[in-house]
Amino acid sequence: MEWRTDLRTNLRVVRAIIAKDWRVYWRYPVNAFMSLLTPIMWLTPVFFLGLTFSRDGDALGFRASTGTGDFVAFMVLGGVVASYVRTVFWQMGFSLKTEMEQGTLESLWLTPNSRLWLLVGRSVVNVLLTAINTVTVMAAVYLLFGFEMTGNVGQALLILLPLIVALYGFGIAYAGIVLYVKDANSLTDLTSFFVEVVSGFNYPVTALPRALMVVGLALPVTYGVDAIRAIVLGTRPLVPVQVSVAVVLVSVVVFWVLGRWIFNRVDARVRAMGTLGTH
Amino acid sequence: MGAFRWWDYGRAVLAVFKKEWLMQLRYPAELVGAVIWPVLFPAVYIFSARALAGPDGEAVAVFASRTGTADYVGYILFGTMLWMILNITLWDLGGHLRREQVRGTLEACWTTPASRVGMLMGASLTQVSTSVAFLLVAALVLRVVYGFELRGSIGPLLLLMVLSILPVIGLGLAFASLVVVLKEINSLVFLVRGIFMVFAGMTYPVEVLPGWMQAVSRFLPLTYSIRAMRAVGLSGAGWAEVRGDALALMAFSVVLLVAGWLAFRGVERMAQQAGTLAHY
Repeated sequence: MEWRTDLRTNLRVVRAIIAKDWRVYWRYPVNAFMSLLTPIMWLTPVFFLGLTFSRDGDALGFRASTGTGDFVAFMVLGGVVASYVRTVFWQMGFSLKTEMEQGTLESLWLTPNSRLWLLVGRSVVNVLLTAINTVTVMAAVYLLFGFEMTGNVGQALLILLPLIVALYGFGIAYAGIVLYVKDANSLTDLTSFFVEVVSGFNYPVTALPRALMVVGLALPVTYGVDAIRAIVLGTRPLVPVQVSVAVVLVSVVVFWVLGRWIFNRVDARVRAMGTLGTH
Repeated sequence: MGAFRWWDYGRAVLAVFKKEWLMQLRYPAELVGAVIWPVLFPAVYIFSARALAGPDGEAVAVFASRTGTADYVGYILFGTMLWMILNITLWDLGGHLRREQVRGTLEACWTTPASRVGMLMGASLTQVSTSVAFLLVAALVLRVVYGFELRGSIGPLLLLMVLSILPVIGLGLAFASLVVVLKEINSLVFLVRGIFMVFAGMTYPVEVLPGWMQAVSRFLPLTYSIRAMRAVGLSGAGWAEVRGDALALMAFSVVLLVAGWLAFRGVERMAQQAGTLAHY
């Protein structure tokens, strides 16, 4: 029966973190508004670049590269996964750093709650906020530029969900790394952007030079986004969709086991060094 | 007295210039970023263009018919590099007064008898030198990574580069003053740089934009910088062909530098009257 009490306590922690983060997020409406506007601003130059390569609205080159001429839909689907990648790096990775700067990390660590469950709570609110953000951005892009999704969106969601779970497993490891490195802004900025470049969120990875393509093919997120596009847009997949699904499912297990291990190691280390609250 | 005043300005300019460069060199990790970002930032657009062009270059002719060049890599690099100069200026020069405010050094500096305009000019000079250094490093790195080559003459390009940086400095000065009043930089930078990213033709010719967007693009100096530098650097255009854009850039330089100076004077006066210089 002890596990039941533990679970109840942990769920209370998750609920408390969700309530707190939700309130903090909406207290800065300008930031919330900019998080909607920024993805559209980033997509617009690519949209007009696409028009520059199109004849009478037909993106003939893109169709030959990917199997679909609808480059907006292709990029929007990439943008959905990219928004979760960005959130994992910046929101999850920096969540403990933010607590550190606000001086609340040590107080949180002194409570009798599980540290890992604190991060799980943060992940849940992150996933929800990013989902709201993504759907709003998709609606805005649809109205501004127009796109079509003819495939099975439900099936694509069945790939997206485990992919998000895997990404948050990585996020927990990254939160641990930031806890140790502390000044990780440049590292995060470069790494997150690099992952976006090599994973082919705006283009197929086959458009990359060979060396970068190899790096892209080593990342599970590449297979996830590729399978989602193949299902929704009918693009030519890199590997059969079933193989991509298997890669995503295996990465869920690997990232969560590794993430938990790395986080616990770093946590023990910074507490032994007494550098938990220093930044 | 006049000569003394100029010397007074000069010493403040040099002191801030030296201090800012010293601080930049103290963070070598940031310098690594200066080499990596010129490669990484345009990569998304270059690889998108590669996919849009098609595996056998099926759509390159369409691109060339709209832009006057088949070199889409060079075309994108000119746009992205000039946009990056604007981005760096907004963060660095635009956040200059704000950073001093947060560090608690703005009041200390402004209570000295040194010229405040001189100090701000020192920050601007640092920005000009940083931008020129950035472009030179970027040109070398991009040559190695993307095989980027300049085709036009270097003289007009250098002149256009200076004419492109000056209005951006004016904008940065006005921005720095605005940030001190509004006490928030992140959202403002995202908004202003986003407007330039969307309207100035960073990756495309402005002619593909709808009419109302083309009208907006005419009010942005970056539109003229990007168009003129592409014409000279990629198509080997002569001075006569870009004279109109150069004149527009001169006009933008005057207007924006004066606007920046006036905004600074306004903030200076407001801070003295309201006593809010140290608030952040």
